[in-house]
Formats: sequence, structure tokens, C-alpha cells
Amino acid sequence: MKFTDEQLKFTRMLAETLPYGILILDTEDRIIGINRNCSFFLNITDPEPQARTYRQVLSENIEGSLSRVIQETRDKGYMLERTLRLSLSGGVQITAAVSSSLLCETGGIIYGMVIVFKEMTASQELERMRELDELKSLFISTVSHDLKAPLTSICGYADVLLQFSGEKLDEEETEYVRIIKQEGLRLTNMINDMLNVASIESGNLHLRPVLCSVKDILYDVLKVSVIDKARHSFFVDLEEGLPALWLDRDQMVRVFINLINNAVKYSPEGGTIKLRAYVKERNLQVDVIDPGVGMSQETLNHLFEKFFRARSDAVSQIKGTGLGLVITKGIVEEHGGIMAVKSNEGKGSTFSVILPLRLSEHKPESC
Amino acid sequence: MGDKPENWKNRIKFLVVEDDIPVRTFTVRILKLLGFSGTIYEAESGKEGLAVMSRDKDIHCIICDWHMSDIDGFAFIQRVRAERPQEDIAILMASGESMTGKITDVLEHGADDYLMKPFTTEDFQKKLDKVLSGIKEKLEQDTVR
Repeated sequence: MKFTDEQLKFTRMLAETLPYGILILDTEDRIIGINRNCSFFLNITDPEPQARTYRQVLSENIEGSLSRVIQETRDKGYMLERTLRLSLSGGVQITAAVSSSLLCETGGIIYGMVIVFKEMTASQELERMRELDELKSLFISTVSHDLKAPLTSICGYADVLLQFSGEKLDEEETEYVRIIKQEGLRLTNMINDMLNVASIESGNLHLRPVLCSVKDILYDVLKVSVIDKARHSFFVDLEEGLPALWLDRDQMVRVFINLINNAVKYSPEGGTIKLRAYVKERNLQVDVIDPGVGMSQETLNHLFEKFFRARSDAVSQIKGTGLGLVITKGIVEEHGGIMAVKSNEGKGSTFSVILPLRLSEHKPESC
Repeated sequence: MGDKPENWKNRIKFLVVEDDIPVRTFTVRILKLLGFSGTIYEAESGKEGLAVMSRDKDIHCIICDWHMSDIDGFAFIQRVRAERPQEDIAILMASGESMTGKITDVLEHGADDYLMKPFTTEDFQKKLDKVLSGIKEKLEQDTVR
């Protein structure tokens, strides 16, 4: 078989580029072609293995496995993919998928055989991670569902006692029942947060975007936010002609409920919480600015990590799961947006939701 | 003899489909506390619920769970709706599922409303008032005739 220099150069380049180990043997088991990946997989240290038989260059344990591959290929003409454990230099073990075939012309002249090795460790690891992730999601969903049933009875009966007992419960007993109900609902919120985080992490949030007005969303959120009116007030500053955006309304309501409730929670001394919405470059930005306790740089570094809670005397009494901001950030990012935060310890924080405007969203909202 | 204003509450028939016994018992009790003193059937699975429906064709309202051991809430609603339209029977789905997308799916599959577990008496009453408004009117008209 005659090749031009160009053909040989191209074939060599191709063999070196492919992410596989390629070994070509002649009919006498001599190595007539081997790429760098193959030398690495088979731990061949001989710099010139060509023209020597594979038995001469391979270590004993690899040689045994490969002999079986070669024998089967000779018998059948090919060998379907199977896995082999290979030891690399330094004792690192990898799993490789090996397949082989006789190298022959259409007329039947056999030149030898080609054996292909494909590294499987990374894909096996990915598969294992995927299975673990599915298991985790199933676990969270099952546990959460099974936890909600007893919570329904606990919160439900506590509520029935509060609603229907009339004078049968004295003041102290009523207070105990009220706490049972309140704590049951707190546990429910924690479970819902965990479910939401699991959905975000597994990419199962499935947004249902509708064209909606950020102004309406903000005013709706203000109605349901838990504020101590004696201590907190809101100042809302919305730019004229804000465009309507394609957003999952319920999820975006959740984002601003989280941010506004946090602004209230972390401003225990009270004060004015400012909401600002405006178009900046090609984004619609909403800032939630609180005059609260603020955060240190160390806290800011970990703020969006799961279960992270700021630890300082100023916030030690504030309850939470450490999941609210993870969910908030996940929802904003699922909309193609980003979250930004600035803070001065002791002076307050600004949380910004920055949502990209699509071309059709540059017009002012109709409502 | 004329019926009292709340008489429709004595004649409305419920079916509560729920595999968790304490939750099922609680749902039945709260219905009674809210003054529904008529028939309340109980079923612990979707299939059992369908069997009850085939025995009594006059059930007015189903309160069912989403996650059931045999058939899920979607399949159950579809089977019910194949025979009984929305004006004929109200379905209130009660579940711990909190994802808004899934809740929308339930409503699109033929449930009249969705009640998130755990629920308060007030939540339950509000949702019931909403899903039963048509049936209440129908039963009150029947009383007048």
C-alpha cells in the first residue's frame, strides 16, 4: 500500500487529534502505528515502539488483557466494545472501553488489526453524578411530600382548635396552640424552600413567562410583605415608561417578596426601604435598598451559598433557612438576569435584580 | 315545608380521596365543622375513588390528593372529567406540591381549584366556597322547585 507524504502527514495528524488511543498491529503482532493517547493508556515508555511486537513493549498485566482482545479479533474479525481496567504511570487506574477490528481491504487481504481505546472514567463519573443527582431530587421530593401529610394534620388541628374552641381554651393554652401552628407553617416554608432549591439545581424550574409589568409586581409584593408599619416605611421610585417584560409572574413575585422581606428583617431598627426601578443600558434594574445592619465582605463572599447564614450579634435573632437568596438568584438567572449586591456594614445593603431587555421589550408598558 | 337557607349543605355529597389516613380524617372532620352534614364518602386510592363514583352518580364534589399510590392526581381527574363535566362535579385538588408550574398543570387538566397542604380552615373554606358556587346555586334551585 503506497501513501503520499501528504496523506501520511494528514493521517498522523488525525490519529494524534482524536480523543482515543489507537493501536495498529500487523499480522505478526508488530506495532505499525500508535498514537500518543494509546502510549499513555498502555503506559508505554519505549519512545520507538514501532516494529516491535506488543508483547515486547507492554507490561505483563496489560499484555494479558490485550492478548485476549487480539485473539478474539482474529477469530471473529472484530471485537465489540468492552471495558478494561488499565494502570497508568504512578499507579493511577482508569477504565477504558476497547473495541477492535481486522484491518483488511475489500478483496480480503489482511494487513493486521486496529484497536481503539476510549477513556471511560470521566463519563462514568458523570453518569454516577447524574444518578446521584436524580436520587437526591427523588429523595427530597418524596421526603417533602411525606412530611407535608403530618404537617397538614398538625397545622390543621391547631387551626381548628383556634377557630372552633371558643372559650374552652384559656389565654395561655391558646398561645401554645398558636405556636404549634406557627412553627408548623415555618417547617412547611423550610420544606418548600428545599423543594425550590432542588428544582432550580436540577433545571426543573420550567418558567411560564407572560408579558408583565414590574410596577404591578412590586405593588402586589408590597401588599403582602411582612412589615412593621410602626417602624418601616417604603419609598418607591419607578422610572417613567418602564417596559413590560416576559417574566414568570409567580416566580418574580417570589423574588421580590424574598428581597423586600429580607430588607425588613435586616433593618431591625426600622427606617425607609427604597425600591427603585429603571432602565440601564439594555437591562431593567430593580434595586431594593435597606438602611439595615449591612454585611461584612466575608459575608458577601458567601451570601448566595446554600444554607449560609450571616453570623453576627446584629442578626443572630433573625430566623431563616439560608435558602431564600439561593432561590432568588436561581429564579433571576433562569430569566437570563443577574443579581448584584452592595453593602456597608452597619449602614445597609442594596440588592439589585438586573433583567435583560429583549428587542420587543424596549417599548413602555401599556398599563 | 320550605328548606332552611343552609339546607344545600345537608344535601351536597362529597368524596374525599386521600391515601394518608390522618389527613383524610382531618378533611372529613373539617367538612363537618363547616356544616356539611350530608354524605361524605372516603377513598384511600384513586381507583377506590373511581369505584365509589361508579356506585353513586350524584356526588357533587371531590377533594383529592395528587400523589396517590395507584394512579396520580392527573390521571384521576382525567378519568373523572371523561364522564362528568365541570358544571356537574367540582374537583378540589389538595396537595403538598408547591411549584406554580405544576399547580397550573392541575388546573389545565380539569381541577376547579388547588389547595396547598398544609391548609388552614380559612383557606379550605375560601376554596370550597369558590368551587361549590355553581353547585350551591343548582341545589338551591332544586329546593325551590
